[in-house]
Amino acid sequence: MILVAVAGTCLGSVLFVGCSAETNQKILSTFFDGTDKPPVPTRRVRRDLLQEIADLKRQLTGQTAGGSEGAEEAPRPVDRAKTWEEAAALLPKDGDGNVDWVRALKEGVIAPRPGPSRTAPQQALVSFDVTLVPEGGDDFRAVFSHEVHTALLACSSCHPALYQMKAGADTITMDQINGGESCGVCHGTIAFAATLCARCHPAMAGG
Amino acid sequence: MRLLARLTGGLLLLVLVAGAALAVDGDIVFKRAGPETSPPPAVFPHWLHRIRYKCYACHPGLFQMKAGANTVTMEAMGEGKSCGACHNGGPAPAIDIDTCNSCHAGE
Repeated sequence: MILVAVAGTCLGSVLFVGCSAETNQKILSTFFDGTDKPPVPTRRVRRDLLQEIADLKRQLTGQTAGGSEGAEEAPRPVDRAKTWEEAAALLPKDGDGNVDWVRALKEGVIAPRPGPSRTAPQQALVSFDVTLVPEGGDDFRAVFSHEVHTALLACSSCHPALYQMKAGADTITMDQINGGESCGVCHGTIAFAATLCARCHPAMAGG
Repeated sequence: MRLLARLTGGLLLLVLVAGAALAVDGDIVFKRAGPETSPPPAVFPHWLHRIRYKCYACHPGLFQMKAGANTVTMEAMGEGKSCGACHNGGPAPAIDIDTCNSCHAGE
């Protein structure tokens, strides 16, 4: 009699351990009253869960791409501007009185999309800085932020046409920049001009 | 005195009209390939786009980043290329006969 009971218990526990939570509950509720029923994932719950996962993914993408951006955010005042004059009045300016696009992005005044659709993927940020120290001395060292640039531009915008992808492989001079080459391809045309020394040469701040 | 007032008014109007047609910061006024003068050349409001889209949304995939390096035609737009990649009634207003002046606003 005892042996049968032991064998039964063993068999029961083997079955019990080997079953899914759902089957366990079914077996238990046959013998015992008051066994909690597991929540049944209705369509609504499933949809909510999927929505939650999608939200988390979006948050994660937003964080990777620079924090202040979110595809579902309400349009900013600047997005409603119909003319450039209206928009320019809302954007931060640099020392030359031109639009400071980097600040506008960092401060969330603008939240440009990565592509035509709301679901277009954000390009990954490249976060390393390149510090260029000229022979003349450390006072004129320039710091190039990949992060600031890759928040807006593709790698292929600059590489390899303007710069080789190898540290120290390119010589950059102020003469080139002022002549519209190297950094000067953009800086002085669509980006701030080389007259704002301290934005690249930190030691020249206040000078 | 009345003549002077009229002249001043006329001059002011001229300046205002000229000012409205001039491109603002960041605008690109396209050069025509042919001899036609009408409709006026198209003006691309670069920085109004820059507020809404990252550079890489269009460069270098749709347009090279070099002034004059891209040939922009209405045919290409109709095929969903060039401006037509967005201006197709989806993310941006479609290009049609009622909206010519939206872009062809140059001098």
